[in-house]
Amino acid sequence: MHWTISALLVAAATLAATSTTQAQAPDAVSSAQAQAPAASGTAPAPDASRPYTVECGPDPEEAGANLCLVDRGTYVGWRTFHAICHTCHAQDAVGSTFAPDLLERMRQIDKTAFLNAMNEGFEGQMGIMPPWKQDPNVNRYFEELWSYLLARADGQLLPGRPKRLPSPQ
Amino acid sequence: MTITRLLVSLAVVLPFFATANEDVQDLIDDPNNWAIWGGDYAGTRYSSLNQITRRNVGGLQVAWTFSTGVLRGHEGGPLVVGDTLYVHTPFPNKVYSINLSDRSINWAYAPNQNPDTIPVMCCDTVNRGLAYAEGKIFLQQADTWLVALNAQTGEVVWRVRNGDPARGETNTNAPLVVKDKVITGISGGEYGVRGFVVAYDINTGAEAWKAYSVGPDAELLVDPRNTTHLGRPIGANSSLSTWEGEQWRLGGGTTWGWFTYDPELNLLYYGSGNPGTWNPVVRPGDNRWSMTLFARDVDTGMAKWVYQMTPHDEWDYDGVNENILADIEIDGDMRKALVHFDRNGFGYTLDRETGELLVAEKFDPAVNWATHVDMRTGRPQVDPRYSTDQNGEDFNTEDICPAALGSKDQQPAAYSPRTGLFYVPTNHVCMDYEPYEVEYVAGQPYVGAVLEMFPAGRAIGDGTTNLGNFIAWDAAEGKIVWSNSEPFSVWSGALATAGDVVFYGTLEGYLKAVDAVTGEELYSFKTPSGIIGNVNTWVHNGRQYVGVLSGIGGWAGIGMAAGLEESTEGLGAVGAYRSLSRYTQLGGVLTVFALP
Repeated sequence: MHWTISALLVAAATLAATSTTQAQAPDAVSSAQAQAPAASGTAPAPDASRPYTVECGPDPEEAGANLCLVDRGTYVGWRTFHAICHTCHAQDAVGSTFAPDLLERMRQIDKTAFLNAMNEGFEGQMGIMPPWKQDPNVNRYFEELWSYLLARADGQLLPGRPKRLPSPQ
Repeated sequence: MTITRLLVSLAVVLPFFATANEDVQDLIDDPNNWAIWGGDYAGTRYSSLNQITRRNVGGLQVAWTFSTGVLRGHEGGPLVVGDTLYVHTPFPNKVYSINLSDRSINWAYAPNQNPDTIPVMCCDTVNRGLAYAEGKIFLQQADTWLVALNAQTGEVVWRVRNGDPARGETNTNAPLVVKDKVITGISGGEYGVRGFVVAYDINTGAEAWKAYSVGPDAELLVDPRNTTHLGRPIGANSSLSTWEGEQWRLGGGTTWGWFTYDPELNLLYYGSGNPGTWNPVVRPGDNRWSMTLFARDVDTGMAKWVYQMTPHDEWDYDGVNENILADIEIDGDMRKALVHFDRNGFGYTLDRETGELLVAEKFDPAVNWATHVDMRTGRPQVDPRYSTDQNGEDFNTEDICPAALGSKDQQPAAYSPRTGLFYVPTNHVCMDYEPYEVEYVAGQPYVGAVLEMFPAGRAIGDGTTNLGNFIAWDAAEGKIVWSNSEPFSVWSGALATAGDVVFYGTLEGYLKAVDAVTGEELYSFKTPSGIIGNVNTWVHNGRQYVGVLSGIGGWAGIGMAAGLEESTEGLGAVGAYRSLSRYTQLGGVLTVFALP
């Protein structure tokens, strides 16, 4: 499946339709009809506490699958995570036998604690996370990782590879 | 199995006395021991013990158990020498000597290692076990210290530092003792580590030789005129000429797999891992000699032949898996063969004396990154749809089979000379792979690719959700003889016995016994944790035992750990994303089985 502009527009329209016809409980992510803020107009503006924009709905190109569209920062966070962090914390940040489930952990820490752990490393009950402040492939993306992990922990971003939303005009 | 074939294999065993470490060879020749990781120098993981047979194995029972006291992934397996069993653990790499008569602990060794080692071990803090020779136990610690212990007392006889964790160098491999040398390698393929193999003197720890996988000829220990690749001299600068500029310095080719040895040919066999960064676009060329099988003279380290299986890797198909040495009939001729099941999904049969390529066929039908291997050039014919290099940086190449963890990873296969078959634990996992540009910083991950893995059934669209298979393989024909589906990757080393039983473990924690001829399951028992260790067998007081470490961990569970959360993936994949945590939890335990 290779992404095209036209498919993007179709997907955006589908997502908009989904969101206007279905009332969504905050914890509705576990249903197949995931929460999907409209792409045009009604999506909540990103704010400091919730920096991400995420829109999930049925994938127009693959029956039975969902598709999540995300802002650039969240996308870069997803990518960095699945190049580096996933070797311990596993795909989609669900944790492994030797590193914790970050969906759970993100609900327990604030951004200051997150940034401190990223910079200085962290020794926890399961193991040791190295400090990332010296790694240019990671340290420039702390904000993006925060956005991605928050979107996952909030239940807004489903597992799997997201697509980027069209850039704002 | 024919009588002639049995006689031929026995005949080959005899000259082994000549040049192996005689103590180790004597211990190997007594099937009551399990004196070396592979059961023998050839790595067959075959035992001539036959008390436990396919007819009575159904009555197997647990005889005793032993907790290692360590969580984390337990790879490798115990050694048994006479009345003593030696077992190791993941980091902090404890070693226990156990008296088999009363199952008490003779001694325990617990190194005090730098905990900074842990974060630079990419995929859990596994260790694949010990070597024994001449009254010493050899342990290759995670922090790269190679330690010789007095087998009677556990006291350190000598130790030598083999690398630097601050540069991302660590160790996970089991050492191998040949003659007066202990052979070891290095891990760190995800940290830009330049791989090498070293031989140390077993009595002093002094370095005898060191051979890099990539770089200048002198450091490779190759002879441009006499070291061959598929029968032809490799020529001068065979590695340097396949890299741009100084990239070979971060050239990878780490050596964290298993070592085997042919005493008659005096050749040591092993493979090298991935080249540098996982982003192939920035390292044009074949990147020799990453992803390569090596045959080296064990006295000098000089390479006799090499064979690069995956030139210019674009998928992380490390070539480190074990090389099983067996004499098999191919096209009517008995050949001194080497059989290797590579991460890249091809099962290779080579002439182990000359390096001639005899067979190269897919051992998982899902494999799609290459259509076939050209038998003249030895090169895989890459399907451009799955070329992450041709598709380029920042492009997500979808549905590549196998995934980076390979159709098979380090979990060693077994070979039974009675059936002539190889028994192979496999992964049935595919991936999406997107390379992108990264900077190198010493001691930091040097990866440069986004990776997602999923059951092969999603990529090939056959509706299956299993993540593994346990197969029997005919290495002369290059064909699967039978295949048992497993819900998760089979990440446990197999054992074949003269009772025509084959044993392996599963990630849910089952120790299974199957019929060597048919693959029919004859016995299974759920051990305390998932099994990524190797099944070994021995005799004590006249009774045959089978033992295996359980202890889930390693790369095996990664990528397959997703729970029941709704996924963005298609419905076909949902069933396979069953969390391993629903089946098993952490904890290292040795479980030992016997007939009642």
